[in-house]
Amino acid sequence: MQLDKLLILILLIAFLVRIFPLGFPSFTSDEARVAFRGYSLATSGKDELGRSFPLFFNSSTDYQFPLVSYLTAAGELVFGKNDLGVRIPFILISTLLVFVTYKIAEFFNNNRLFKLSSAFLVASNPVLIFLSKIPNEIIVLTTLFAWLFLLLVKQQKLMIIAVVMILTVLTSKLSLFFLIPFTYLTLFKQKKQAVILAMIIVALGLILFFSNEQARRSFIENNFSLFSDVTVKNGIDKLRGYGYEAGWPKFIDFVLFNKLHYLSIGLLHWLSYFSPVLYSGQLDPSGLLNYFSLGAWTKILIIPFLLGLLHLIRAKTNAKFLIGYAVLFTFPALFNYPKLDLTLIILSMPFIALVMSFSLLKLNRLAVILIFCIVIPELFLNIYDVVPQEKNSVDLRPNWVSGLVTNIDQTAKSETTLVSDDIVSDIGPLIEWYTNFNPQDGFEQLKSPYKFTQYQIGKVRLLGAQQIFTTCGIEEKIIIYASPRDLKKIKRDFKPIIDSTYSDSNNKIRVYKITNTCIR
Amino acid sequence: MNTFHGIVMNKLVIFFLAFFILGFLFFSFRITDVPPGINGDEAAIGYNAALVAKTGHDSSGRFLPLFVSAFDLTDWKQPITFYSTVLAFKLFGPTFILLREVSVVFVLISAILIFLLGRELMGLKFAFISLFIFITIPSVLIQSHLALENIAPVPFTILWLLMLAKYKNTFKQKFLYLGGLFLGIDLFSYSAVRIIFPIFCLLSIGFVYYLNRKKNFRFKICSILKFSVIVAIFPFFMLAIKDQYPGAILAYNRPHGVPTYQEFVISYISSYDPSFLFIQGDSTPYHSTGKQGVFLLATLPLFVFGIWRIAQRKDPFLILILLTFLLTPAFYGLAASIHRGSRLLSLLPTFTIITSFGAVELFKLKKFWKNLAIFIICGLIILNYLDFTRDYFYDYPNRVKSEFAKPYQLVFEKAGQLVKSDDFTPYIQSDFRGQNEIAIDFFEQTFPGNLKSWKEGQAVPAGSVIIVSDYILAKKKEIPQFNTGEGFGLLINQTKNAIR
Repeated sequence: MQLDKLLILILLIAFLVRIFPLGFPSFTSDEARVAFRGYSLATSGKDELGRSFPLFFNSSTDYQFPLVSYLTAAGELVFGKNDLGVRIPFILISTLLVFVTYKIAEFFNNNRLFKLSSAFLVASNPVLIFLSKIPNEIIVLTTLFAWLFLLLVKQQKLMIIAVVMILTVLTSKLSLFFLIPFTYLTLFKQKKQAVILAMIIVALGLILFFSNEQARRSFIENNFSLFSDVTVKNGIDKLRGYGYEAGWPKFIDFVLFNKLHYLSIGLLHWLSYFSPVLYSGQLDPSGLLNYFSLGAWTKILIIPFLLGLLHLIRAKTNAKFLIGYAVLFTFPALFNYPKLDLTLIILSMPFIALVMSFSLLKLNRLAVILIFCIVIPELFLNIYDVVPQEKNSVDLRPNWVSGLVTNIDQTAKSETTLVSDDIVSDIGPLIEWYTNFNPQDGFEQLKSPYKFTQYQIGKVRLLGAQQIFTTCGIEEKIIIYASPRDLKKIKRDFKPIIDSTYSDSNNKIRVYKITNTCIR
Repeated sequence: MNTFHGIVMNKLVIFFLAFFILGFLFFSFRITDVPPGINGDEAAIGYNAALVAKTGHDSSGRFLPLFVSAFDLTDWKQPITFYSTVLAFKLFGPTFILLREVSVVFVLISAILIFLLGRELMGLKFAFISLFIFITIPSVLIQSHLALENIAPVPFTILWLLMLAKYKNTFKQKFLYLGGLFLGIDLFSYSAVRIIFPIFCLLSIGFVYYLNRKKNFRFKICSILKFSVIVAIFPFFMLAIKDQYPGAILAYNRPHGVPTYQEFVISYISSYDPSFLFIQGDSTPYHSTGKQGVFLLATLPLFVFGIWRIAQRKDPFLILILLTFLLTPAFYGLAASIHRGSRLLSLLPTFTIITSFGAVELFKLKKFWKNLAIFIICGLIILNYLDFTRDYFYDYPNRVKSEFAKPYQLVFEKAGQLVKSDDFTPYIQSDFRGQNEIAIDFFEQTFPGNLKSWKEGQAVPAGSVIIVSDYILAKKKEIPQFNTGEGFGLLINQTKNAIR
């Protein structure tokens, strides 16, 4: 197989923009947990809670599927406990996605511009670049589904297809939602065996998933808020509550507000996933999933996207079905009301790149060059000017805590050390990741942890909101790293001695090291 | 043939007449109660229009001004809505209901024009569908109840499109002149049109050029010039009078920073958020119920289908309609306008045509699917619209009560009745105006007779009715009162003696 030299250049660029700057973005607490888990698995074969090679993992928001954790472990096994070790598997997977997109483009049209522009668009996609630098399910799932698409349309052997399908199921529970419709849409009745295979794998995945008690709980809690969460405005329980209050007969309430409610409310919610602003304006202002001032694509690409859409609507080819993938991948949103799960949008990126590339074929070469000339500066200005990004996500991706937790770790070696639990959300994994923490010191006796937060990290103990403070006895020596919440509580009763303070990336004091206060 | 044409025309005139009467009754329903109180901009238009209708001078003393200043030169009203209101006040006398009914007339004229545009494009069936789609748009009902300028560009946008459609069908040059004329007048209908105007001009020029693409170069240029010369008169005229109306034309009083690339693009593309267009609507409570979008949700499938079918067909006018819809807010980034449906009403005509086209294309499906689709979509549109109107007429006023001014009309109307029927002398508490100066100025203009000033501490004159705050009502419990429950009311002295 002779590779196009320009493709090699695009792959090289894709790899380089993904690997540099290596330390950006800083990890969230959950990502730090995966990073530390990878180290623990690589060195001891146990996860951060001491369970040997588990299938499902703990997380602060949901139950995590295994593939991402084991990929992280593989990276750290080779490169050690550092940024490169954690990030390299995802950087490589994301670079592979560029190549897979090129091969998919080849299937639709052998035109060199079409293939290369498809690959380039994926290589320069901001959200794919961002996500390739952190341990996460979405970049893996996006690559796997693109690969699966390629295997399906090229009618490859069922064994290989089965392996990729299994990998998608092991990556994220999202794949359980759309593996079957994805296979069906891609093949469009051409190869029924693959659809049946997808059904079997999804069924096995569901059995595996529901055999785990905590996974069942996760499924109910995270997917049926429309039923269970009374804070949801149009939630079924809430609407039924109104009905009872108004004295409606129980039967009418049941008829009006039942599982069919998903069809109306869920569909409206789904509609919000097709907002052009998310794709070309601003995907995630929080900086969790993307550079905060960029959409899923750089802005100018809305033009080739619309033109590509117009071209495909008019065209009489199977490529028309590419439009359907954006609709298909956002389909689980129906069950996720009212949370806007932006990750669903990202899965369709390679397919949208193909839609855009169809229009580039029709455009004047000068216009194509002009579009790329606008894409590149916007992209580079955002991905290399990381300071505003760090300031924007000071709570979510707190890179400033690395110095703090190193000091906490040093203190904990000689003194009893307490840390407020609201310095940042779930600081435990950050302490474990940024210090030389020994995984065995954090092992807990838990079989099926779910949304479990560790409050004892080796010698460091976290302080909750209910903690009561007191003065220290003669022999007592405790160091407290207090948040403004706890400092306020301490100051209410006596005068603390503040040894030092720690500021965040916005130069706001976030932590006070207090040496004369103890706890009751 | 002529007789047949005459019969059709007669029937159409009767239909328009019936539509106008029924439409007027529907859109005027609860017009002074929904929204509940007068908006500051409504009051500014009403007050100045009443003054101009009476004296020819506005509140700043200018004689028949082209632009009217409101709120001490910080905001300026455009002439189309303003002089329509002046005309209505001149004919029927200033009242609150009439102030808002001017917008109803704008809506009904727009509806008839959209019917004519539909008929010009694809015949009577398409015209009726367009009319139905247009009048069931939630923002149309909402704007018909507001005495504001937002709805004013709609008839002119339709007229501009109608003239281009007629030009496409007949190639008569007069329609180019008329298209330019209506687009030019549009510039004076609403301030936001100034950032839409260049796009409409470019699209028109492109359209005329495309239609004449097979003609020689000179002919093409001449056709474009015929449109351009007429349309260019209006912005040049605007520039010529900029020294007389610098605030109104150049908005020096409202400096706005140059938007970043990010802001510019986001303002534009956020105009097409489906959740904004079809679920939540304008971001302000004045222009949206918050429970319905700018457009009716049930028409979304027809709209998407319409876009799909227009993209498949190579009809230049439908492509113009689609491009107009997609490019109208292209420069909205200059005004940092995000999710302001009230500023996007120029989209109504193009949305109506696209959606109606989707409906017409639906009729081309196989009989079973056609009937099923029509049954479901019509059912959903009717249900959706009924749900919207129920909420708009009855629940929405209670939800947004705090956002609007108090319903001063209640107390002015009651006092007016007493003055007329029982010959009371009307007074107003001297510091009452401070509650909402512009609104009370307007209601004073609608009042039958001169309101004399009355101060707290003075005796309540014999045979008088005094508009007072509830503070005074609470202090003078011994005097007969009319309390609106809104923070003000009337003191009514029916006796022949003054009461201390």
